[in-house]
Amino acid sequence: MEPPPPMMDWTLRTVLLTVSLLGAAAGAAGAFVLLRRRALLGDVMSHAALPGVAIAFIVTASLGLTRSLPALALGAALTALAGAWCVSWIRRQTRLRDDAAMGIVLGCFYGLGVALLGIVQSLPTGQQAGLTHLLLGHVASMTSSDLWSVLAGASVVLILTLALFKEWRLLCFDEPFAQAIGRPTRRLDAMLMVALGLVIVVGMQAAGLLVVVALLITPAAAARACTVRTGSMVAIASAIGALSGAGGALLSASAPDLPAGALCVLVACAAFLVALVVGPAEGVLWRALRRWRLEARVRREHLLRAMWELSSPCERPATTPAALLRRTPVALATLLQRRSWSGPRLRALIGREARRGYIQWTATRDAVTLTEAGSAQARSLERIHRLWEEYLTRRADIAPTHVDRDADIIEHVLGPELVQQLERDLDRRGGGATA
Amino acid sequence: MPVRPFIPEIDGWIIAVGALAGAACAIPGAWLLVRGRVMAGDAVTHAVLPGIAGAFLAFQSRDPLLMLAGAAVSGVACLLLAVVLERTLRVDRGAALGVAFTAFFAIGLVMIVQGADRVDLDPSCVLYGALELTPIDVVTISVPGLDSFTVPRAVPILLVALVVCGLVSWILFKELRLSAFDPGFAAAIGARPLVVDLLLAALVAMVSVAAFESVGSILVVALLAALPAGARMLTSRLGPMLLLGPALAVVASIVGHLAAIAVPPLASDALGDTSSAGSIAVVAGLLFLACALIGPERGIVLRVLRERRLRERIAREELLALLWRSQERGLPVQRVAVREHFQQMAVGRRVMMAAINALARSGLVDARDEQRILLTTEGSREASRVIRSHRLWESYLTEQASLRPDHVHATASRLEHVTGDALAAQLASETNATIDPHGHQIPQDEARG
Repeated sequence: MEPPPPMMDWTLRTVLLTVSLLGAAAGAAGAFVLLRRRALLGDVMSHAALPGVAIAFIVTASLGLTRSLPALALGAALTALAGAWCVSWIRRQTRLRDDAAMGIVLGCFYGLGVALLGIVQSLPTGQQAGLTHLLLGHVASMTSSDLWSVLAGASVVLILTLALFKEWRLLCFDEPFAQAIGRPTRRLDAMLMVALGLVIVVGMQAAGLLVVVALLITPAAAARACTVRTGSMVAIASAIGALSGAGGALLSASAPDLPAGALCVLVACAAFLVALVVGPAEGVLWRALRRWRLEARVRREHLLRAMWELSSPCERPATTPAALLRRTPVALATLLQRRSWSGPRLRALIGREARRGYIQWTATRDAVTLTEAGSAQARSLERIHRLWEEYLTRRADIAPTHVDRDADIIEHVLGPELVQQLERDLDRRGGGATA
Repeated sequence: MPVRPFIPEIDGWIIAVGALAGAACAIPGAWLLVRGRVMAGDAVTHAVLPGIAGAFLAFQSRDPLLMLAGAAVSGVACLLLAVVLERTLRVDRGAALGVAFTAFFAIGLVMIVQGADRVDLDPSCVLYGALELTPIDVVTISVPGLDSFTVPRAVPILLVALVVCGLVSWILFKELRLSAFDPGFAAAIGARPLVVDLLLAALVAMVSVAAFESVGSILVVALLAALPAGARMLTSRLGPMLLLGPALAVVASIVGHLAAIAVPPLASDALGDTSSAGSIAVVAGLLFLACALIGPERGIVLRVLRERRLRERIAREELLALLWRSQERGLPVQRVAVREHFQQMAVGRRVMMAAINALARSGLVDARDEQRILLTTEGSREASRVIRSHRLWESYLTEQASLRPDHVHATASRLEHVTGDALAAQLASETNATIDPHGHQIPQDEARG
């Protein structure tokens, strides 16, 4: 295979740089929009840009000018922002929800765009060549003017993000509070819309509507699964956006007949799926692991407590605390009836606890005994359970016959501080748990 | 270019197809609206692309039924993916939809470009639709015992979609309503939210697919969103809303198509008619705007009028109270003082003059003097009611709500305007005060003496 001509290399580098920059800016802006729970606003604004393009075309044509990209971009930006404004106007004035306002604005602005393009077509000079590029993208045939406009737009967006980071974060998480301490929330929101509009306008010319919408939403959603901190989320979204852009461009250069724009979207999507599985904050894997650990602990606590309740002190009356911890053996058959656990599962559970040194098999291996360490553990578990029963009966006014099961559920999820507080609370009101 | 004449055989069918598409969209759109999922329509219209391309590549035919089937399958699959992402993987609702439909659209594009040497499928045909061409594409339906009819192919397709949507909404009305407004209770009695979401997804996909051929897929979004929202502005009852949506669709179709024919040529001699579908979408948006303005309960016009009437009443009551307080102190009220008082309250001069004139007309004040304004006996009685509720509130707030006496004036000033006689009597019995916290006499209720 002969080496690629230098020209190809140059084009590829332009495309690579442009799409990565676009991805970085879109990721950063998209993260804030996602946190404001308006992820689809980018989609709405990019569709609302269409009538602006058509109007700019009609105006420049009627002034006798040739098709000029800056004019089209200006028109697109203006109607995109008008669309965003309409969404918030509808929400404020009619109490319809965000999704309805967005649907109306998207559909009707786009319809206006189509109707205006119909008029453009009937103009004597109406070649709308290039306008469909805006929809589907033409990443592979990008020019250096695209690079410069994306460079300018992306740097403005990234600078805005850095400068307004704290204000935007506040806006996303507690808008009423931001308003109360005197932040200009309407203006901050408008700044966010301007950032969004910039990404959309420069991105649409360079890469097409679909790519921009996807780069605004998908990297942000991926970053959300990775972290709960806003700063890292914005950084991760930006990085994923840049990598998806670069990855898409490289993949499409590696094989014929692969549209670069669509590949950027699919790479971002792959990153999203990976983040959804392994992301430390919301990833499926970590959530499953946390759940599995909790379940294992609950099973173990059930076993120890059942052993405690079914056994009694070896010497009666148990005069010293140490004597209380020496317990009689419990037959496996009795233990099996205590809860809905199967024989093999119970044996596995006992095996694990035996390795920890909390439980011992008797010589005949049909019964088990708590060791002293196990007794101490079981006793404190029993205490927590009783405390909860007390609390639910006295403070939550639940009938004594009903509290055992509730306490059974709730006892596993408490930290030691809460248990101490519960103890203090019950002691103060006289009486305490008896265990 | 002059406006072209209306041709019933063509324009009539275009309007009929537009109205049918709008009506078919308005019904599932209403359910999407009450469930907060309007943007699902937008997602479906993008997500059909891989289905269309797949059907085309797999069967190498342009049979519209195959394409519709493929489109419906991928539309439902996309919404299903979004619902799973949202419900089980806890992704934000909008983001879940956005990720799903952009991915589907991208896959569709890759399929089309990959198959480009074998097929000729222009994705923009899918996106734009051609409402103007529907009267040309006809089918003949023969009914046994009657004549056979030749109708545009879109008509029976859309009719079936409309009937299915109507029937589903009618049969499952209670279940759908319950799961929209009380999902917790609905889940408790066995209507699983996921199943309802899936049912709606299927309806939306079916309607969009049936309509996108004729109206163009993205314009389906306008009809799905704007028509039910317009109906929502007119009524807060779900049943009438489901019927009003299709009615608005008929209006939008007629006005929209006529505007597409007439507006551009009238605007400029150089222009011919434009896209009817686009024009219908714009009219649907304008209809929504009109409904939002004139709606009987939440209408913007009514609300503005109500607010204005309230402002005027408050201005009148403030003026009466001001006059009464001056009279209490034995001072005549100069017009200058009135102007200053209203300026402090940030009330405009126009509202102030309107208040003075209205009170003078109803004989509550005497404003004939150039310098001063006087309360009449009638006016003094009206004013004492305002003062009474102000001072009662001050007493109540200091005694019962334990506020400091110097903190209650502003609150009482706001509450005095919304306190009726019954509430004032209740306040009086709660406080038993005859002197307010600032040492002023509380006027007695004159009706009771």
